[in-house]
Amino acid sequence: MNPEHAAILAETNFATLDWIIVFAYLSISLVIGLYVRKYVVNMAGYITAGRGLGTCLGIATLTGTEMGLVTVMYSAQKGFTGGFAAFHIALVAGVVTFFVGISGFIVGKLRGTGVLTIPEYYSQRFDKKTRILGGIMLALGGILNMGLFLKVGSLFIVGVCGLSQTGWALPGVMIFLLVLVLIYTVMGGMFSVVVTDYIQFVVLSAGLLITTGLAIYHIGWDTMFQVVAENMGEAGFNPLTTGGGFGAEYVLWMAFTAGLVSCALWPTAVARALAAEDVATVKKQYMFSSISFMVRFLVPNFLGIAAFVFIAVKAPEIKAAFFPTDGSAPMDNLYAMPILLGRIIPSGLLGLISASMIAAFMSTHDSYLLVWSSVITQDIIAPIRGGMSTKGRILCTRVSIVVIGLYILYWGLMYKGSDDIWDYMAVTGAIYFTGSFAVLVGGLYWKRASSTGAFMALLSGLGAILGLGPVQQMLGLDIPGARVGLTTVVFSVLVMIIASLLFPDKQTETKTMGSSSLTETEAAL
Amino acid sequence: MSLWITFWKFFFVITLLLFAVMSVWVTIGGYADIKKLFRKMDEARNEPEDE
Repeated sequence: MNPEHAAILAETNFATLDWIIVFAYLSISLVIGLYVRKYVVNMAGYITAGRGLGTCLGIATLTGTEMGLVTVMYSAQKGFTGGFAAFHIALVAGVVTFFVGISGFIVGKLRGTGVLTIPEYYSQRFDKKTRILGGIMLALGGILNMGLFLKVGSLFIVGVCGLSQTGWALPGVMIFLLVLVLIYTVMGGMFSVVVTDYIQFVVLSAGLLITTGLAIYHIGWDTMFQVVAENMGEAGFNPLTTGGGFGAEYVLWMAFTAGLVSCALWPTAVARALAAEDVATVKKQYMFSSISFMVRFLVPNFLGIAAFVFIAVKAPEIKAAFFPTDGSAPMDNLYAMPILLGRIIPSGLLGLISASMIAAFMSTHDSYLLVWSSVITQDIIAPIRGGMSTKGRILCTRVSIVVIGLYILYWGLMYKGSDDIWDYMAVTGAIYFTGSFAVLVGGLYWKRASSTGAFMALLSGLGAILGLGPVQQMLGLDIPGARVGLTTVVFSVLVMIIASLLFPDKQTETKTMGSSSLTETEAAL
Repeated sequence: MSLWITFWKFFFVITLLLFAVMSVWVTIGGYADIKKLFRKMDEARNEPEDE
């Protein structure tokens, strides 16, 4: 790193007291996470906490999982570059989640089937090969998607704590946090996840509200709007304007990804629906969580805007680093928000805020590790092997958690890509969700949806790979990721319809569309 | 542009107020849910021994 940039990062209010607060918080999370492992007696308990989540606990764990530090970082980056126009992501995410809650669209019906994972539904409604392919696509897209979480989260922690960007700091933080999360997730499964998520929700909510208040206090409410208007003009407020960073196509893509996918298709969110007590709880959980789904984008967007204004008008020495006029390379704008927090929040409170961000980091990692590993066990390995004991399934899930953890550590240490984190995440996630959207909606709401249609629609999701920058460069393409994603969604739906009509199942009427029944896993257990 | 500014101001303030209220409710209700979950799990763990 440029020495001048490293010097800027080293300037922070983070002190010994803050370290004590952070370590106290981490210790409490670890102890509680380990304490609840005694409740793990079977696979259903390990991956759905015995289906005992009430509405409030469901909201807490859903919020904790989906409001990850990586979300905070890339949303802040969007606010930094796009101004208040970035708020549209929060708006569409909240509105779509609310309507999913009212209607129970996908999640309500899925909970009604009694399955433990999404690919298990593929097996119940279609056949075993669709389940295995669905599991592979899900694990592939999900684990790739998770690849940058560890590094980006650790960048925040290193940035806000003022640790050196070179040497041991970044890998040290990455390894330490990963080991911590692995320990309690491997031992306690979903029980540890929901209990630690609850604590993390409490700390995170307080942290976000306090940080927002401090940002407004230090920078000024009207100043923020005024500075963005002066520097970005109409594009800083209107997401539909041409020439800005967004546009109508992008807004539509956000309604699908940040809205529908995030709450109704993404397995970590759906896992909460499947762990809920009943369908009515799922609906309530989603209606109230729509507020969290807005806030998870809104507050980080706001902090990114605050960082932009702070740097533009209150810290000219930093402005030169982020917006150089001498042709030198600009400082990575991911650091803007951590720098802001490190400078405006007093010591003591900074420890609490950092703990809340670490909470966001941990609550996302634990859930993601658990969901992907349970899919590998339940939907890939167990069906291929033709049955596994409860002990075997739990052991396999635990081993998968550790292997995925090692992968994200390797990826985080080795990754030297560009800064387009959100684009990377949207495209890698799209490998799974574009196909699964067609298959889930078709399976749950269309009687004539067939196994061949589902299988081919899942494969169609691979078209989303075309949205990745390196792939486009290789093929000489230059198509916006949003367009590739939306086209892949439409294509998968068409494939599902056409292939189902051309190759119908022979016994469609015997398949379960959305009614409760004893699932394969439950029967086996 | 002024219409957008007014809209985003209202949107931000209202959402944050709703979130603050929800956070308090979820904090209290979530604690009760955890106790209920533990009770349920204790009962489930004891069931095989009772039989």
